[in-house]
Amino acid sequence: MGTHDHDEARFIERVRAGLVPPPPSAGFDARLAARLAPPRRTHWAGWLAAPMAAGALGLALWAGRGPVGEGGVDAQVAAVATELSVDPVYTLLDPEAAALEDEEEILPEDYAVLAEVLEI
Amino acid sequence: MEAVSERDQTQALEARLAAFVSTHRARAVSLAWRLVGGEAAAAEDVAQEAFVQAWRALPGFRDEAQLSTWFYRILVREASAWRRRARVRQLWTQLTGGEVATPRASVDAGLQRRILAALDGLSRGQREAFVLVHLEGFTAAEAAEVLGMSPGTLKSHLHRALVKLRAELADLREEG
Repeated sequence: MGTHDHDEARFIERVRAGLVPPPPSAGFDARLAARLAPPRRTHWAGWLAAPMAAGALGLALWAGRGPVGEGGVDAQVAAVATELSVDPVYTLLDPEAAALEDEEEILPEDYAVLAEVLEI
Repeated sequence: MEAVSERDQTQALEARLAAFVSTHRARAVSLAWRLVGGEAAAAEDVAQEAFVQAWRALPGFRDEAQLSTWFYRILVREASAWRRRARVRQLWTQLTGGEVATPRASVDAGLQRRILAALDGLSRGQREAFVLVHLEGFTAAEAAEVLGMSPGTLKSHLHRALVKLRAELADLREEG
């Protein structure tokens, strides 16, 4: 190993040593087990979830809020952006967007992220 | 008879999942923690979401190695999505004149904070490549596959990441 490679390896080792993650918390396994419980173990209340979700969607549509991708939330995000005179995606997500590498291009789902942030 | 076979299949899948979680649990949380910038709760959420998606996809994977690559790809994407959301929240709060929440409450050590800040300054590709290969011990081939990039692009990201980090954390080069 050359001096340069040796220096590089030592530097990386120091970075690694300075960035030691904590172990998973005590509740991690229990929470994961609850999330991974197969459908056959679903509590009876789970059967209510689908109709309730459908009801919530219906309510949202009734209130004039469409689902993402159908002009509802996207339209509201666009309206908010116009009011603020900002581009919701490019300005909010990263002012240095122009300097970003191509894999960091802004994705369509960012509209959904913005909608979530705006709570609409 | 069919019901028994279905139950056997489910039990076999659950056993595979349990083995998979047990093998990858610590590494998944560690990788997520380093990618989301030292937020312990966010790292666990990201890792859990990736495990949930792995559970759904499990029947479609016979090869555990393929499942593992796919799982880490999902985890890296989830971590990236988390960073994106955090960034949007931060910028939105700044734009609306609100107070920006202090990030990384779970991180106190000065050196740790500096390293995390330096990683923050890398591009997404550079950060993910560096964390996977140099901090989490993925081989270059594994990391390239997880990140969906060519080995050449990965090497380029690694090189640039190292140059930037060595400049940013110059004192770490001189110690010792």
